[in-house]
Amino acid sequence: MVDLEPARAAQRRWSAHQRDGGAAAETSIGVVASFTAQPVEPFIGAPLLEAGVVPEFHFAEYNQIHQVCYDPVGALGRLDFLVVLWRIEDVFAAGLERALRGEPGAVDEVVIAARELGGTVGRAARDGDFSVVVSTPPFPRPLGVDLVDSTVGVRLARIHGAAFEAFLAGIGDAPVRWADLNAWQVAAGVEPSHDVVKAIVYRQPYTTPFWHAIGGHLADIVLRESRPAPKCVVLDCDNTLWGGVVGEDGVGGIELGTAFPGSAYNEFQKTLRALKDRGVLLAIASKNNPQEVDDVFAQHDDMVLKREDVAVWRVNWNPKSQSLREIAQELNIGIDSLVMIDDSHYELAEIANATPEVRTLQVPEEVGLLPDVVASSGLFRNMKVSAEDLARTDMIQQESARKHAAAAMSREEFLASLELVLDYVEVGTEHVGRVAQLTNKTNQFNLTTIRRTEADIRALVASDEHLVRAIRVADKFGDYGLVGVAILEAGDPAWEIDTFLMSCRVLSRGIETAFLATLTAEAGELGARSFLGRYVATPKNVLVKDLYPRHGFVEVGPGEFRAELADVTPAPDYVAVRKEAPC
Amino acid sequence: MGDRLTEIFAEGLRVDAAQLNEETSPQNTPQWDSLAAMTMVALLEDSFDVRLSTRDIMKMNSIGAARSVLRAKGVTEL
Repeated sequence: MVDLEPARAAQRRWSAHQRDGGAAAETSIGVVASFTAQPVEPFIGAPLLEAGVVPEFHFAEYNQIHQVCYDPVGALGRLDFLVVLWRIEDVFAAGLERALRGEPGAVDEVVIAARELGGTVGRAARDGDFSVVVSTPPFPRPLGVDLVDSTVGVRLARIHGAAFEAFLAGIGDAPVRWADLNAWQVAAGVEPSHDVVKAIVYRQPYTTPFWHAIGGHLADIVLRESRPAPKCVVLDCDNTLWGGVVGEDGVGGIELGTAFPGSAYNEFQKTLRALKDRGVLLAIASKNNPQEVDDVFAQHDDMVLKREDVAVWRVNWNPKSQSLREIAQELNIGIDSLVMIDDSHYELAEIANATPEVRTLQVPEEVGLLPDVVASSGLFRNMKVSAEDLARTDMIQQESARKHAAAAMSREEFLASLELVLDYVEVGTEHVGRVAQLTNKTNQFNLTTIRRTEADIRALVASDEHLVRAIRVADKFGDYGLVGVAILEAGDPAWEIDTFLMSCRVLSRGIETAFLATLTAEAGELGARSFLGRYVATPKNVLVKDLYPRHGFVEVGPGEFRAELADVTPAPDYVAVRKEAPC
Repeated sequence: MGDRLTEIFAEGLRVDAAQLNEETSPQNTPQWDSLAAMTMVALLEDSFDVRLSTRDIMKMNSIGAARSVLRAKGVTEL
């Protein structure tokens, strides 16, 4: 029976924080997943609160990964982190089903789509001023499939491996942090992680204990940003790197080699060498005669670590805390970047007392557990995956990429695929309520932030000196309704753009360009030759600071921009503009 | 201080337990949306160590109804 109390404690803590209003949030975390992911919120939130970080969460609707990645801030607001969680059985449900039936070509289709998905997420990571945390795809567990049926198992493993590699290749060298959902599911077990009833009722696939695990890992990744992994592992020698005491047993008498118990030390040294290969520095702080330690490194055939693997040596009889201070100084890193591994309770207590910033790991009594000491500490989890690791998968992928020539869609291609339609509307009485509402609640994409009542809007509509126009936007995913307003005041020679605003739901798709082009073109037909636009800065509207310069306007004064009719950026091809007469 | 079931609803709906009673339902409680309903089911299952069937879930359209469903499943400490 799984103990649910730790998970319940986290939920209660988060619920209490939410009910009390709590401290103001300082870290904004957006989550988009191919499934319903809201149950994770308390399990990320509680450990962050514990660590002194107050988060707020913004969840996208499930299975909106492409849409959110093309405009994360528009979809979820200002973000510090965007967490992307996905499963093959959600995003590529049809391809997976065909692959499970053994249809030829089905795996290849999923590979192409997974690579394209990786490209989309990678682009969001490159373009955004927030950190993108993206999951690896977990081994699929489609509903109604017998995982231990070998025919099914082989097909699932093939499609999982292929989609996993293709996704990594699609991400390429984009600056993402990996949420290794696949590894977490391996550690928890596929069946214990899944709740098939909730999967079908709520599209929410996981059990509470697994959500708890996912949340803990994600919180750890978020904290990694401000609290990096340790940079240096400092090692004791006797009964840590080898068994026995070299000063008494001699180089030939210590335990180290292929037979137990020496094999435990040998395996432990391999984990240290692997850390070094990942860029973690190794140092030695040991109370020995220097010559004897030198002899082991130089003469013992079974030493995995070599002299050149060790960056700093402190083999002397000084207090270990002093050696640790010197090591940190010599490496020019903070003393809190050190991890000390030692077998002696006394030494660890001395370190904890004199240099409490140093994290310590004790060599276990059970020598068979020694090789797991570093891994089970979790201290080196969630470091950045090296470029080489990604490059290798990319090489594997190049073959299939060449075959399919399946690059991710360019931004223009994606936007074209959206089938965007902009209805340009002359505001009439039936629109007044919505238009006034937009002037009052639009904060971010709003150039002048002039608030207006319905009466104000009616007066402007009636005025001969003003054009009051709005836009409705739709794409293949749906109709966004009336989402933009512009008010133009006739002038001589320049017409002034009094108001230009849009709902953030339709940002970053070239809608604003099409709107501005259509508006100025209409004014041009009425005799306007040039335009004056203003940007009035507020705490919320920095998003549109450069709107006018990006659309052919030239700055003529602080926050004032002018353009000739011919200089205004034309509407992009991929937006279909339809003009609508008032009813 | 409400009873245990009310406390769990208060946590799941993120409202004060004093505002809840047996008639509290999605119709009279704006916090009880579909997402909160999903959260509540997991909380009730985890807290009372029961498995709720989809038919049980569909019956739980008030706190009183949830109490009946849980009683019928043999939960006594509500």
